[in-house]
Amino acid sequence: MVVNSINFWLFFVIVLVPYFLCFRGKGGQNLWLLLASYVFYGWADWRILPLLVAVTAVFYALGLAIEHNNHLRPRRASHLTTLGVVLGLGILFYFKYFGFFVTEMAALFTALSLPHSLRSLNIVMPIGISFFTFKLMGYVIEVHRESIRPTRDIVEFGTFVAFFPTILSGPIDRAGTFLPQLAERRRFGENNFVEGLKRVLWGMFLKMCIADVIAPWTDAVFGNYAHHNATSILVAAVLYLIQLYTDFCGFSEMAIGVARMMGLRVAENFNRPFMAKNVADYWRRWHMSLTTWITDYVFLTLNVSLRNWGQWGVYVATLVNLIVIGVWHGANWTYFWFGVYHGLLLVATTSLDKRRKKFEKNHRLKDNQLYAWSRRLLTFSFFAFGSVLFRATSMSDFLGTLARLPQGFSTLYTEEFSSIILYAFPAIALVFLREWAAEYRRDIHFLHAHRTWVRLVSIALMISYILYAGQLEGQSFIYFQF
Amino acid sequence: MKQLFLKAVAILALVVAIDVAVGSASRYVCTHLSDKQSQIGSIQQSLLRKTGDVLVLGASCAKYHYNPQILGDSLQLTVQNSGVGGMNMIYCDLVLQAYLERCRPQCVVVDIYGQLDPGEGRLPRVKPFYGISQPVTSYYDRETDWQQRLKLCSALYRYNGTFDLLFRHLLNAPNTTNGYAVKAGAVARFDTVVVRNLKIDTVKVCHLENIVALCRQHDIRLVFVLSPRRHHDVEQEAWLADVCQHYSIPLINELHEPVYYSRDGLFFDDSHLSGPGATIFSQRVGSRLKAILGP
Repeated sequence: MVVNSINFWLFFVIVLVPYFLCFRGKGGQNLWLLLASYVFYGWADWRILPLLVAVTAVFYALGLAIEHNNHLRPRRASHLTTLGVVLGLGILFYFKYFGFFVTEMAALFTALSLPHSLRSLNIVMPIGISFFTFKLMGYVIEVHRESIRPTRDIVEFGTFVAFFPTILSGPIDRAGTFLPQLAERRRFGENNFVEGLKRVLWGMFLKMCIADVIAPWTDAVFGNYAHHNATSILVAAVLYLIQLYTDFCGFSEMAIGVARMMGLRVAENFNRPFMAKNVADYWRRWHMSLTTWITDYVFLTLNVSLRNWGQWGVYVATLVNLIVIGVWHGANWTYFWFGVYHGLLLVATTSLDKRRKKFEKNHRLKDNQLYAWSRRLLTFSFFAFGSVLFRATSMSDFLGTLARLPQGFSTLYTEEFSSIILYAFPAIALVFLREWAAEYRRDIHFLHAHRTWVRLVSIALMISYILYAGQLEGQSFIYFQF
Repeated sequence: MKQLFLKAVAILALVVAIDVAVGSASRYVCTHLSDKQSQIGSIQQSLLRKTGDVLVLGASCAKYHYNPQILGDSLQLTVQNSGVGGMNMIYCDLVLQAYLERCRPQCVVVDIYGQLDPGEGRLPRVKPFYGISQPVTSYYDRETDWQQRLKLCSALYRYNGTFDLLFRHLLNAPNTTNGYAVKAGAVARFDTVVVRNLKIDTVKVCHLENIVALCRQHDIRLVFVLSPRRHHDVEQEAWLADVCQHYSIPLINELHEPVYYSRDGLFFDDSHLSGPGATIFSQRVGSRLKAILGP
């Protein structure tokens, strides 16, 4: 049941009406939300539902036990926290990486001519596992750090873990910001409802009018790279980065919007990444709920552990941080190298930062727009190149794609490209215009104009554009596979 | 709350107004297309305009293999090629039904290979003719779910993606030659590959049976043809031979004819003949059809 389907919206209306009208207290609302979330998750794959319920119960108990032991027996509290993290990672490893690990070990043994009886495993990966396990691990760590108090209400905790708009593909919520919202009764608010609807509409626009329009063309190029020239591959790399952004940001906007309509605020995931002027800035704006999670729990921990190494400690922590982000996406060497690539870029950016600032000062470039846009273009190019690695199904695919580049530039592959020019390009232009306006605080608002009639016309035009130019037979979201 | 309701009504009214305006304009354009070789042009001509004594149905193989001029000369009949790339048996059925509303052909030729494979293909591209062509309207009303029918109430949805097709039609589509198009370019000869991958869509089999029934009802000669190609699905071939035997339908099987595989330049790619290949194919099929149809 994808967010941009009629089924989802029927489901949502069935959930929303009683949510505001039938329950007088937060307990009833939370129970209703929990039931709805389990139905939603079970709809995707009911076989995994018991796992979700079980881990919710275990981490709920762990949270209480950690709090109980935090002062009385700090060592036991640490052990329990470690147990929680190991359990979370263990679940993640088993379902997401174990099959890959066994296959790679078998390949290694075969290459070394060592006898083995390892066979490929076909483990069904639960949808959204990377998202809810991170929520759970973050919860026990925060309880241990005493940043939050564990909830004693298991329904509230279950709702936090399984909250249906975000369970499949994030954003990864933090208990510290989400649980307090569940501790109060939500009332219907016109502002929340309208703002939520606008975000859903914007998300649909991104997904249906850009990501899904571009997808068939980029699939045709990358899926059959041996028959394409450098021109097509470079254009596909640029378009794939835009597709990836609009697909994932589109989903995040819809999830945030749906939550907002129910009176709940979830974490933001994107902050105009294409306006970033360097790689570090880009990562601060891209998939923010994941990057902040990993920064808080991996980078900072490593940074402290490696403080004796000085600047090198920061570099190692940065590299590991980005590799973890890469590998989080899946069990494939492409994600590992994606992490290495971005880690090295980030290390280079950090190490050159002082020189860059000095250079800007000497040449008075700080407010130079041409310079600023050149930096944005360069950052975009780095990420577009990285997106080829992200898109490749294997390292041999990636290297095969790169090997096409020296073959030279030739005519662009134009099969079905006209739909990208006619439908996606105007939408992409609108996205860039909106992001530019927001970045420079210009007074251009499409859906938030001061005049009512401008807002209404904008919304009507956007709905019409989605219906006329969008891909309405909806493809799945890229991040569902993670 | 009252204001929210009023704003929602205003947005809905605006969307309906845009829907009606875009719908009317698109409907007019779609029904008044000139006779060109574009995809939407071919669909429009097949569903609403063209007539002929022999009707060729199928997907891209039909479009690129059957030269109506050569077939017509051979049979001394008018031939209309209604093949459209990416289509399937459902489209063939709809075109035949639409055709029968205008005229009764003497013979229907179906290029059958792959027509019963699972998947929707490019069938949604007939959506703009919902409400214009009776067979298309009945098909969507009868065979799609309530969600699809609900969406079809919107003209914006019906004409979704049509702007691109119209743009290509108006911009660079060559003039028609009764639906036939030449694949320019060719590859060297290749060895054929045997595959076993029989996947039959039962819904499409129902449409195949409907075509058989319509042809019997209107006393039309139905002929199936297997075009040459690189990959020979022997299971599909055997299955189709059984179907032809069951319904007593003549099958022209060009799949294994060495003439196509013995020299360079007769194929455009693995599945489609080039211009010279199509000429040989049309000549051969024309003479076989002549024998089947008799004097």
